[in-house]
Amino acid sequence: MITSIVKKVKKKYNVDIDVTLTDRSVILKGEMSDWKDIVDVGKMFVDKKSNRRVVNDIVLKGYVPSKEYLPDIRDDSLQDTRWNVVVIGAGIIGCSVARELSQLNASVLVVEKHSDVAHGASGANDGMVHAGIDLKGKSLKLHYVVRGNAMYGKVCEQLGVDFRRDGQYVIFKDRLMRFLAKSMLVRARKHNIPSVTIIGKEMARLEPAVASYCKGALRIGSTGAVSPYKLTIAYAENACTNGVKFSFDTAVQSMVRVGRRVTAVVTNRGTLFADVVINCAGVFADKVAEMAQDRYFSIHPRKGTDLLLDKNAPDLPQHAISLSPTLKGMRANKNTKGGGIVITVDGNVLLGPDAIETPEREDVSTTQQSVDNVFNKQKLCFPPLQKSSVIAYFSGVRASTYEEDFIIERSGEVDNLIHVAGIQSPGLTAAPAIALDVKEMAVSALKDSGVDVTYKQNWQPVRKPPVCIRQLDRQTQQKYISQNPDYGTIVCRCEEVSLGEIKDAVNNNLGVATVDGVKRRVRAGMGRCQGGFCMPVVMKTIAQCKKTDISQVRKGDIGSNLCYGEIKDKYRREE
Amino acid sequence: MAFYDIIVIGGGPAGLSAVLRADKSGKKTLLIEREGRLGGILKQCIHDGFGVIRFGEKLSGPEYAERFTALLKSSNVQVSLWSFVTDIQHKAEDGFTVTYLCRDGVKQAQCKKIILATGCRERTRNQIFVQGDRGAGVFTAGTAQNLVNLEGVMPGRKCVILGSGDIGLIMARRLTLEGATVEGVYEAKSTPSGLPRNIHQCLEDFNIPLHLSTTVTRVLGDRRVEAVEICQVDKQMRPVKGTEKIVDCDCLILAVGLIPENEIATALGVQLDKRTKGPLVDQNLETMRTGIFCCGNALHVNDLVDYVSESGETAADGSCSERSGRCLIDIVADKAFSYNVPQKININDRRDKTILYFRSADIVTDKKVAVYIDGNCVFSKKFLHLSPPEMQRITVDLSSATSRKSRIELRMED
Ligand SMILES: Cc1cc2nc3c(=O)[nH]c(=O)nc-3n(C[C@H](O)[C@H](O)[C@H](O)COP(=O)(O)OP(=O)(O)OC[C@H]3O[C@@H](n4cnc5c(N)ncnc54)[C@H](O)[C@@H]3O)c2cc1C
Ligand SMILES: Cc1cc2nc3c(=O)[nH]c(=O)nc-3n(C[C@H](O)[C@H](O)[C@H](O)COP(=O)(O)OP(=O)(O)OC[C@H]3O[C@@H](n4cnc5c(N)ncnc54)[C@H](O)[C@@H]3O)c2cc1C
Repeated sequence: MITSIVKKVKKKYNVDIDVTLTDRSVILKGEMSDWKDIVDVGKMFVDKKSNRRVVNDIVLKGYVPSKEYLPDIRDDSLQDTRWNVVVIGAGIIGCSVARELSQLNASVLVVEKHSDVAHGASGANDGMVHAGIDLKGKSLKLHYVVRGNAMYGKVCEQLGVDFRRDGQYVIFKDRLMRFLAKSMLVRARKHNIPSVTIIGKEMARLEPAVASYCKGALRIGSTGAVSPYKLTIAYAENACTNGVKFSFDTAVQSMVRVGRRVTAVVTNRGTLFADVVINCAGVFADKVAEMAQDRYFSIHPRKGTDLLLDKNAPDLPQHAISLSPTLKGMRANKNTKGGGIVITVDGNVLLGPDAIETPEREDVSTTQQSVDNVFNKQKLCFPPLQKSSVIAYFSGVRASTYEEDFIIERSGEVDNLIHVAGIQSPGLTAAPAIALDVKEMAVSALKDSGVDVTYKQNWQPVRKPPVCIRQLDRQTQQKYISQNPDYGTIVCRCEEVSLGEIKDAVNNNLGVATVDGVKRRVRAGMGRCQGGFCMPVVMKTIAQCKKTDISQVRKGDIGSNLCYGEIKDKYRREE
Repeated sequence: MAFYDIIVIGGGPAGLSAVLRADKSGKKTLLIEREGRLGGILKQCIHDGFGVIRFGEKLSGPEYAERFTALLKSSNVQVSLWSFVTDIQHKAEDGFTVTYLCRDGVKQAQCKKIILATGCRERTRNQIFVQGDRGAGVFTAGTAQNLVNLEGVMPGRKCVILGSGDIGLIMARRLTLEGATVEGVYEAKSTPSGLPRNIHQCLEDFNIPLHLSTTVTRVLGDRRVEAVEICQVDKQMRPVKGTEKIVDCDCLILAVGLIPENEIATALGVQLDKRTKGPLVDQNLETMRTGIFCCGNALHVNDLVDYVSESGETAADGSCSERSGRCLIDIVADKAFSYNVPQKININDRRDKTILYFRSADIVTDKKVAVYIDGNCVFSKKFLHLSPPEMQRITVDLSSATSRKSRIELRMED
């Protein structure tokens, strides 16, 4: 079996691949000159029937990996601290896990190498709560997506996060697809995916602009929209309220492993000790596994770019729509779902994403090519789209394994290590369900480590939503403003955000006080002027609240200071 | 609920002159301003050059604004600062109901007429598709100006300026004076978009290079800007492969254009002009929704504040006089003009002086600008030089356009 694949690779790419088999992995070594080919070769070795995962160590010829981001700080704030659980990574997974763990009478620490939560994929995705209709067979993805989706209403209500379940429409270009769509109905029933129907002419009534080509659509009623970073923030803040500690600008750099246990975790802020370690490191999950000498899977990063449109632009779609792949496309289709048009929970139209395999794990720079491709593709779906309506675009990197499925398990070789890895799309949807199971795994791992686990009596699952003046009726606005006049001073004119809301955001319980942090929490700077008017006020407010100088105010990570000290004139005046 | 004849929204130079003029005509007025001080963008324009036409003097922005704010004290104008308009409703019997937030809470006021003077905003990095990393250090010129002139902090030490709009040129000089190095100003078009006087006074006098037909294609630096990639562009503004160059800098300042701020107008269903991005108006600067007027940079982006003040007064005069029924006809401009304001003429309001602002579409020399009504030339003026950055103003007698079928044409002739 393996030898025949090696031969196939030799024939197709004219390279010799060195293959090693272990209990858990098939490890590939070699050198090739095209990254896409390396990924394709990795995929050729996937064997879903065996328990072996692909570890692809084929290197790209001449490629020097970029230096990983390491926060520019060294201290001993965590030195010799002891924790029942240490969670690595504060994305949606790390934060939702932390929040479920906060139910326990246990000390929990989340370490994150960036200066805020949701800095990775969790801050740069479509925010779509998927139904899972495109998933086949018996994957963990399907299991968790269907469960996660069903949990969304309740979770968002508890955590005070906006969530809308407006459904999604997959539009057919040819009539034949309508028949094929019937098989989707069967699949939906089999997988417990609710509210899936086929509609005909009604689609063109809902979105007249698609009438020219639309031959009907599959309506998926359970698809929803959430702000992915707001949900991550909410999970983290609720965890924090319930006693979980967060340490930002903290990178796990290595681990000490003795026998079947990780005994210590080494960071730039000291070496700490943990009974149980949970790996939620996103695109770095395989690297973190390696630190515990437990690497039995590979992450191959897949970048995606999204475009956001101005709310006030003319001719916008009103529904989440996408084009159904053609028959030919369906056969070729593997994991590029091809993206679509999404209506974000804040009411912006979002286009995207594309899917580009890349050796770069952290490169979220945008390219004109991706921006153009995403736009042109979605214009096929909704012809009136105008490029001048684009107000922002961003990229995120998916953490895919070669099996293209999640890994959510206690390590087979390290007793106190749990991997939550390969959480690619739709990991946001799956997170609430994943977190529950990971908490159970952590409980059993703690018990195995001899820690007595009990549940808190006074656990507080509800988080009060932040004040949002824009969304309130006049009486309530009046009430808030008379209590705090800052709620009556609008600072961000595009998104109508008040000074009071900005101060609330700066004073969050996680201690994050950056301009990007404010932007994500209350949308100041997210509108059409992109912070042109409000950024100086936000900077001043941060400096005031944190009692520092404005030149200390950062956009995000350490080293991203927005300005350099005072101007000459000012010194002169003071002399 | 308080009742006014006229509510002016926005307390920059346009709104100030509008509200003062309406007050002078004996109208009861309210001026609503979002910030804590009047003057709009002028507050941060500490350079001189304001008011040459109106006052025959070169004032700084704040000085120019003071000429107007000083008059407020002896007027009956009511001013509401720190106030942000969130909603406007219209009913035939009560006129407009304006809802605004301020530090006292939610306020409402009624009025017969509204003048929009909300200014403009800057085009952003994303609107011109600058790609690359997302580190700190990319600012629009106005934001940089705010940081330097109002907050007294430096946005960068080694700056690249993209776009040759006036604010960018002024910031090139300002940053140089504050000790920063300006590596250069890069402009994708083959001609600068700022005023010639700013090219001389802000760049040439300080030896700051201006690179035409060149643009920034990429920003490098994921924490703070470390460099930008520049690239030459062809006539269609497409980057020319192989001409990429990396320029080290810690700051990228964008002066790539201004767009009228028309949130409120759009919400009111006011029809916009695709060319100016501001509302379509008649000679009284009344928008296509009767009772709503617009002036200043919210109407179209001006390069001289003197004309901004003038437009405020025109809008005020228009809103102070009662007219019954408008009959609007278009001013048809030929392709040599990039736009004209007003775009329409109300023929029921005949007068011998109509102010017409326009910009040419290209740089041209020795041309005649002529206005025809039904084929008869009613105005003609020779211009030695016309260019898109320089807005022009003419006064024309349009009173012979009397019928709905009249045809008013704006032509460029040899
Ligand atoms: C373009 C795009 C669109 C998507 N759209 C959707 C969608 O519509 N719906 C959906 O359900 N899903 C979507 N996804 C998938 C979803 O975003 C991810 O599944 C989810 O965000 C993964 O969360 P995470 O916490 O595992 O990873 P991340 O959010 O990447 O978090 C990992 C964290 O670990 C930190 N870290 C890594 N290494 C270390 C270390 N050594 N020390 C300390 N910290 C470390 C990182 O800094 C990072 O913050 C999309 C993904 C992309 C890229
Ligand atoms: C950087 C720069 C340099 C310039 N240099 C010169 C020069 O050298 N010489 C010259 O003659 N001209 C110059 N100009 C041009 C001139 O100053 C401007 O055209 C003029 O300031 C525009 O006036 P305005 O009243 O239309 O807008 P603004 O000055 O922008 O005022 C608009 C006001 O409306 C308020 N507002 C907006 N929305 C709301 C709302 N919803 N509710 C309440 N209030 C609101 C704003 O806070 C603002 O105060 C320059 C312009 C700029 C931007």
